[in-house]
Amino acid sequence: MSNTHPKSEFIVPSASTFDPINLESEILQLCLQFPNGVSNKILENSFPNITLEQRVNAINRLLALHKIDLLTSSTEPGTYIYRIRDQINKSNSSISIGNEITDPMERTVYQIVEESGNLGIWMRDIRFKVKLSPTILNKILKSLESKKLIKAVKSVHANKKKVYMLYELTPDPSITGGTWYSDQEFEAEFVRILNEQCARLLDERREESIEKFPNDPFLQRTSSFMSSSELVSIINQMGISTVTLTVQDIESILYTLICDGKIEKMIVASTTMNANGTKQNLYKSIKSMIDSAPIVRNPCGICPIFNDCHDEGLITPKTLKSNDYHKQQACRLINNQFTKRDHLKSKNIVEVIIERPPELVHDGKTVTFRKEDYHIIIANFPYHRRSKSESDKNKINRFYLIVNSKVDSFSLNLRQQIPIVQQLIK
Amino acid sequence: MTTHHIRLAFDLMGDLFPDETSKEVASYLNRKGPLPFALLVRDLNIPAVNIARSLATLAIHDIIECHEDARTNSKRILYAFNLKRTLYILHYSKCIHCARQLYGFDGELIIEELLLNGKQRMSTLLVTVYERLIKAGKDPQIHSLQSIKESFKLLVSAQFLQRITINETKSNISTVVEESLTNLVQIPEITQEGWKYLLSSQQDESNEPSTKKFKSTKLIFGDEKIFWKVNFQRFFAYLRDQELIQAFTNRIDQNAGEIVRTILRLTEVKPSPERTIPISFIEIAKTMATAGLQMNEDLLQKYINLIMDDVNNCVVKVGDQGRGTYIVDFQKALSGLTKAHIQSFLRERFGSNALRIYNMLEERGCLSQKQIEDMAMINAKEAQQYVYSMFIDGMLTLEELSKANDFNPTRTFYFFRVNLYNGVLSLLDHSYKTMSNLMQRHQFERERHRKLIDKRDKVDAIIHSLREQNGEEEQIKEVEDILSPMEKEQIQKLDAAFRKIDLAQLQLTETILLLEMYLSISNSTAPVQKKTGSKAVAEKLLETTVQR
Repeated sequence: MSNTHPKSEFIVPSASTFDPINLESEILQLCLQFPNGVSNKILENSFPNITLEQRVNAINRLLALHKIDLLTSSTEPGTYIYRIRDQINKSNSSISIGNEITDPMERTVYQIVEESGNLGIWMRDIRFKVKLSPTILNKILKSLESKKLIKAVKSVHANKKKVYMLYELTPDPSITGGTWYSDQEFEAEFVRILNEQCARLLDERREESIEKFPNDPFLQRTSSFMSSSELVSIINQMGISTVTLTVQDIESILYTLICDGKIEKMIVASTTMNANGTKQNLYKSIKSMIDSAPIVRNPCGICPIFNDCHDEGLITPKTLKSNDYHKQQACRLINNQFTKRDHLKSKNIVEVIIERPPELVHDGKTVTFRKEDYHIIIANFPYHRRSKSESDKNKINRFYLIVNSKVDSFSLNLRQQIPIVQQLIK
Repeated sequence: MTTHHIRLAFDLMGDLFPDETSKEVASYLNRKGPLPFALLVRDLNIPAVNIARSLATLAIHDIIECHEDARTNSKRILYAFNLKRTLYILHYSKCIHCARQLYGFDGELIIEELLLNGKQRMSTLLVTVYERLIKAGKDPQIHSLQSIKESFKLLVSAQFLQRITINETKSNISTVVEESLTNLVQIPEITQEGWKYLLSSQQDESNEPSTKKFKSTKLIFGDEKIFWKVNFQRFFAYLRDQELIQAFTNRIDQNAGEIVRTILRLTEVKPSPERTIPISFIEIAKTMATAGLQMNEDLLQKYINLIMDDVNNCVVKVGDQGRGTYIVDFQKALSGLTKAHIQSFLRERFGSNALRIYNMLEERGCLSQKQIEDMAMINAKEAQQYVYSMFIDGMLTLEELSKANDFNPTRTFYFFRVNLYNGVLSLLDHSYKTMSNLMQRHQFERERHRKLIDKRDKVDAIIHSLREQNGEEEQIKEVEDILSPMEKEQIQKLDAAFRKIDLAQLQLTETILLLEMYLSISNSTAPVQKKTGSKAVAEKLLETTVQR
């Protein structure tokens, strides 16, 4: 049909005469025209007749041949720009490092990870920037990791969160936690030892100053102050920790001591120049205002079951063991055994434990009572709990019986006390 | 006005007034509010005479207040139950002890009599105290009526006692006369007759009952209309001062405590609950010199500088007259002391890590759970546990700040704050319950070993009477042997247990007093829940538009 075209018509090259190599060179030329990069839109407009598939093929080939680069646009996030690769200034190009990376996607991801520097970047953020599906991204990250170009670092603050950063970089202290964390774990023991040492040093200094100036309280006070830098040097000399501690670290430990109420802090303008600058922190050991509040000298003050203690019931001031007060005893009471009984009693419900000895088992599945039917008993004991496994008949069933408050708890051995069960039901 | 509060009040009343009617009447009045006498008679199944008697006794002690019914204008008298006054019973022993320390035996007995009887005339007071002293075997020359009167005068001038006059027109309601400094209290002078009577009875032997000499005509002592009662506020102020001095002694040293004591003593001239009158440096130095404490002025100045930095900065310099003028700000002092009590409570109950978290929160204002874990240098799990247990106990409050309009838990910040007022309330409640528990335990132990205690009392009475009649040693020994050695051991253990319980009660009153004073003096209230979100914004807008 094309043969019948009039000659005056513009001959459009049909699909069959489409030359892919031509397209590639034309795209290259376009890229050369715009050294800053050619966006998708410009490509679309320049080649209106080329289908999307052809264009994509051409671009992929160019990328594979390392003629152009795939970049994400900073002006319009989410779109891609193709830029001619500068053959001459290869070393200056930021992406020249990843020379081994063939896949352009991988290279983009690598670039993003590199940008995040010390802090690393979370997988979700990478996905946000690159807009890849999670599976593909995972694959890319795995391949990069196997090539030892990036690594995953677990953050101490969020347990499940992994951030990716370049292999050679040391992670930022905010992720690893700094001096107090080793292997993602908080070193409570280490902190505690440092705590005690600092407190001891300050106490010793205080004793010294009291001895030196027995008559002058003001001098006593001023000489019992120690600066944080002094403390740092002493602690580092003592060799308690494997790493050298900075003034910042010691100050955070001293802050916890202030919160403990053992020391107090004063800020002065220092006379000597030191690394800190003109301000210095001084610390001094102090004594508390009262030795102990009278309320805690009573056992009631520290009793763990204080809120359960009432006039009547199981836990009253009268039933307190008079010799020693053991927290273990209180814990025993807290364990549900007794308080549950008490609690049920308050609702007029008593727990009846019925054991079913094997002789009563008729067949593997049912239990025969002497005169009553199991179902009738269940019906009359509306509150009950079956044993979890129906097959195990020796498990105890618990029946909750509503009685008047005068009856205490009892347990029935079903075989011997069936008459009682009969009585109760009637 | 919690359950424990009321419970404790009734326990104390039951102790002091063992008959059941007082407790019933008081509890009924507590439940229903002020009632006239007729309603009480109608509702309670107690004969009117008994009700009247118990009302009278309680009214003399000020536990039940009478006031006119202002609403209906019917001139009926309403009786109202005063819970606060009932709790003052806790502090009776401490007041008596203070009086003993300051004014000796005479003072102690005066205060004791007044506390047990509510209000009394001076003359009756003198007579009873004198008789008690003689019975206790004190030398009548040293503890004469004159000396007792002197102690009485001192007590009044120090304002430990208050004078009451009866209003003539409303003869059944008494009013308390507040004596100001300018109007010096008139100690009623006993008339000649009365004095002669008292002196004559003094010369007689103490064993003869004074009724033999009772004249047929009623004596007029001259102070028929003037009654006296104990000024509790003054005693509490004194106890608070003692606490403050103790705190300073613990913090700095003994000398600092002495200086603070002198300052406080100088300010007793005009006591006020919130802050003292200004005292100048020169006065302090002079008083210390006369009191015999050797301290040159430089040293004194240094000490004062130290004192100013301590205990929440409660000693404040207000001016430079007289080389420096200082006042003691009781609000700050009390808040510092209550903070110390609360901190000690937290430390013992939850552990020092919990205390660390509490102090951190106090300093930083509000923190979220995550921030607490980071800053406190404690395990995350432990930190969580401490924060939540303190929250349950009422020491911390929770504030919600939502990012969105709906308070979706994943999108709201939860901040913990320290609330001293709430903490004090919960600690006070805890103390009340502890006190009731101690009293219950005491009662229980007494009941359990009642036979043993009765036996011991009888034996003691026999021994005492034998001694008075100058019985022989063998007889006394025989009587003592009624109790077997095992029983004696038991009695000893029991006594030790009772002593422990009493000590515990006494020390607990310290905390209770401090916390109550803090609550009455602090002008902070429970913090208003901060509202965020669109509703709050809308309310605010409405407010502003209404204002316009």
